Amino acid sequence: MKSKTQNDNSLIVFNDVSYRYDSDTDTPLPLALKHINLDIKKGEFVAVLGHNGSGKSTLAKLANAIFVPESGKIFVNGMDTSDESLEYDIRQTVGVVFQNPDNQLVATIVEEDVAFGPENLGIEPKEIRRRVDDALKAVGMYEYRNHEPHKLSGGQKQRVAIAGIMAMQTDCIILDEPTAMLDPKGREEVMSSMQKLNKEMGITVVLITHYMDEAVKADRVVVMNDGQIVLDGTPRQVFAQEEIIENAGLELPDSAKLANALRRQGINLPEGILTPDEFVEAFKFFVLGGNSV
Amino acid sequence: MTVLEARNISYKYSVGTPFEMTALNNINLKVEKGEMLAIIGHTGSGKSTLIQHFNALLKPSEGQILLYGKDINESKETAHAARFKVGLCFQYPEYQLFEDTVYKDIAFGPGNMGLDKTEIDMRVRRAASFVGLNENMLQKSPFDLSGGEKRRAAIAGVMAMEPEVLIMDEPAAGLDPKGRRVILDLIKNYRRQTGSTVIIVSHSMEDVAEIAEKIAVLNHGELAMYGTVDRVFERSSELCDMGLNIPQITRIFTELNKCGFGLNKAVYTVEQAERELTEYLHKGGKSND
Repeated sequence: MKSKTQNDNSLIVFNDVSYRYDSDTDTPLPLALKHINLDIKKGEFVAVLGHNGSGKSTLAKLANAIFVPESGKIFVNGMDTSDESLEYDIRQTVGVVFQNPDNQLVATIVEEDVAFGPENLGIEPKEIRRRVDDALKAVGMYEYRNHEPHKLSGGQKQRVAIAGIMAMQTDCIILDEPTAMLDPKGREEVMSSMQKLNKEMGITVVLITHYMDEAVKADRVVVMNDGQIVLDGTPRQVFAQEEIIENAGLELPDSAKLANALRRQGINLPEGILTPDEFVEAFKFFVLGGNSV
Repeated sequence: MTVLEARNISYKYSVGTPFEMTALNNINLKVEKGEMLAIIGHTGSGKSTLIQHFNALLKPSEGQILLYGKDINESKETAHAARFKVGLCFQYPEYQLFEDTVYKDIAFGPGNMGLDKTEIDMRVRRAASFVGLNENMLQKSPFDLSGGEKRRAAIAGVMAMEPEVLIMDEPAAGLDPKGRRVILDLIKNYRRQTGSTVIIVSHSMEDVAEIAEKIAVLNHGELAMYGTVDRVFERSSELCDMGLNIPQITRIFTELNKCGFGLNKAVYTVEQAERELTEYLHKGGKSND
């Protein structure tokens, strides 16, 4: 998994990072993040899992220089996030899409909303036009470019928000529970847009989510619990650690739960089943061997 | 006995303007006493519009909402009474907490009903213990609670009105798996102990499969399906066309049956699936050697 460790391949690096929120009283709050070490490579699709309050969103806000560490260092493309003069460049490298699409669309027409970011970067109009068109095409929202954002579905709004980040041509998009408010189709639309950006355009994607079936689609899964990283590996490596997953307040995907339950009853299914398709294949093979019913 | 009935309900937005839009089109729906109904449908299918009709927050353009056979929009008084008899818990209800203690927040609804102090106090404590908030938490500011606790405090506020029908819009949205489990168990317990009618709106087919008895499917403002969980999840390809899906476990069973396994089709949860598949193997689908 971590075959290439040379530094020029790293996009976001957390070096022993701790963070705590300001307290309203004299007693300081406990650390929200504790000594985090994390190295996100260029082009990776990383899912971050963890219960509410485990520190996932704090991690996102640190990577985007919205927060700076209490101790430790974060480097985005080699830039130190605690250096205020680099804030602008860091946000051009890492963009964040938040949970609620209604809170992040600002314009009255879809394409104006997507143009908002690049306009603020002072990019010339011709180039903005090209970027907006490209970004909207990439997320499958080009036909909606003249629509009013508030009349779109949740999934469509989130895709417009993603296009807005893309038009800034960031190397990395962090999505903080982008599908929490969406219906199944909306979730599917956002996930396939993200996979496309990652696979076809090489954009690094960090997806913070509560949905195990989304995490299964990532290259790498990071599990947080109580401000710390407790698991970091491929989906198969991570979901094999059922006990740690459950202690972190999470659950395995249903297909994995079912496979494990049957294995405990002595039914000899292979380990590492994560999706319905994998389960169906394995069960068919177990029952039929090579034969048909 | 029918508690709540939507009879030929239609609802139009911005009537008489160029933006006129039909949000609900001739919906007919009966909810029986003690039933657990789930309403599903794509974003914008009219789910939230429909439930706001159930407690007279919205008035239908056509048709009637009947509570125990009586039109709730008959007069101002009946509409007012419906607000308490049908308790509506909105999406992300924790954003609506506003008092300086959790206790006062939960007491807000019953307070509006004009109940006396002892009755309010009893109801607040009962609702709080239902949702697992202890004495110590009741005196805290709602803003000092965790996300899951805030959600539960907000739900307790609606439960404390002791409505005949409890409606919850996406009660588990945005919660982690553990928080979601707590909410689902809480809804189950509430029903078991009070026998109340419960309606939930959800995008999670897994949650719906776990707690609902009947499902109403809305599609572009129309009632596309209405029936038991079995009857509705049988129609998986139609559901997918409507932007919905079926639980992961049901997908597994559908696929296996396509290969001729002949399994029970009505399987939605991991527990059901485990039972069904071990039974299949014991019966000699293949002996377990």
